[in-house]
Amino acid sequence: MNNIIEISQHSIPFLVKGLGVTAYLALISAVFAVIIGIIGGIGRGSKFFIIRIISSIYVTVFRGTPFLIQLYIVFFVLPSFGITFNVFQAGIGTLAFNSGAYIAEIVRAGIEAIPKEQSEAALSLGMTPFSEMKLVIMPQVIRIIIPPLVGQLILLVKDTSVISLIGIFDLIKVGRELTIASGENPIIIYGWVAIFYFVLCYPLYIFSIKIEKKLKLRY
Amino acid sequence: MVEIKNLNKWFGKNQILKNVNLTVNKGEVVVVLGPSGSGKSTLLRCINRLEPVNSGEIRVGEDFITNPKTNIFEARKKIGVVFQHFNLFPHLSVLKNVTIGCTEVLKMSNEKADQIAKQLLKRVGIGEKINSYPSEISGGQKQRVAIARALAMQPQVMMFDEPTSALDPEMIEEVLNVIKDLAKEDRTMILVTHEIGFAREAADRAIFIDGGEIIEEGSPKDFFSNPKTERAKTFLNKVL
Repeated sequence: MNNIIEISQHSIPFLVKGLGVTAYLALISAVFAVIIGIIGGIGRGSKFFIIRIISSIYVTVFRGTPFLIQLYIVFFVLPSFGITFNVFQAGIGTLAFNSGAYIAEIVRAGIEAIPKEQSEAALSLGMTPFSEMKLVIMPQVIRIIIPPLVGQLILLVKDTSVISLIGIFDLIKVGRELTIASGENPIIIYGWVAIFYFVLCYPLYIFSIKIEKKLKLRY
Repeated sequence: MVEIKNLNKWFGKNQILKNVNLTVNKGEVVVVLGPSGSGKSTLLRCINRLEPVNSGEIRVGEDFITNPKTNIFEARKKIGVVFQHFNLFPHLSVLKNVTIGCTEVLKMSNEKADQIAKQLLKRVGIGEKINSYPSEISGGQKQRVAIARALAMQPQVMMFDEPTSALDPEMIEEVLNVIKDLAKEDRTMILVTHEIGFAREAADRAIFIDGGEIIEEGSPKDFFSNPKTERAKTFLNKVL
């Protein structure tokens, strides 16, 4: 028992640093993923063929290949074509585009769930397609996509752990170093790592429930 | 005010509108009658270019709707539409449903838009429900809000697409009364409806469409009491 406390005491400061890196990766990637997802999701229903086809190829390619391969291609293959990124750029960028593809599908499904009469009513008032999207469609879409969107963001938080494989000292990488390099007890270290990931994801889950309740109050 | 010349509209291999010619003068109230599937709603949808046409010309006021160079968003501001299924915005309060066109399309100030909206809502009898949401009011109330939403834009033409067809019988009256009131003013209106009594009372002219063609037109009184064509007679026998 004393052993557990002792190991925890001198490991946790390192793990907290890793947690900070993971939170940073997750936060920045999530912001970009949501932006990319909304653009991609709207793009799939665009009246312009070229925009539809680009969004569709993007979603299909990113959903059809493993995240790790995408990461390796960006970090190890692109440099041989003269395109180089540091680990953070590669990690955040790839995760944002990977997650963005899934969010694009969520957004597209949300838009398709809104009756087309809503769009017709907005256009008949003289709204431009942009105002229509912003004022009429999206507010209704957001309400219905909150549960799958938060689910996707929780996956994003956990997927940051894959980025450690290109050498970022995030939560899981710190844990691995502590167990392998410093020879700490893996049960205790990975126990803490798991708890820390949970601590990051749980608030998202709570947030999802809260906001759903709030949005359900009217209409 | 509204001028339609040689309008043809196809959905795939089906011709929905066949060589339609129609002029609606300023201040005139025109009812469009006809069996379901005859192209009445499509005609209205062509007038504000919710549906593109295959050939022909449509002019509303100064705007040539069928000319691809026309700024359709500008033109639509002047054409009010009331739909069969109301199509209110469910995420906005009754008041916001009416003001959104004023603030976002006509770029009015919030105060001015609120003032206009409250006045119109009072006029259609929804004065006390302005902070409710569409899901909290009845069908008849929804349709009256939808009418206020269209009126708030101060359109040159009002189009009604079967405004009472989705309503429970006891609510039809309250909506028709509002529309009758509007018809008495000097408003240009085009109504697709199955309410024969209302058409007889409120309209200046009746148009009968069947199979995408205008079969008969005339004063409502003549049309209902003395239809000239066989098709109109058959139709009237069914609805009267």
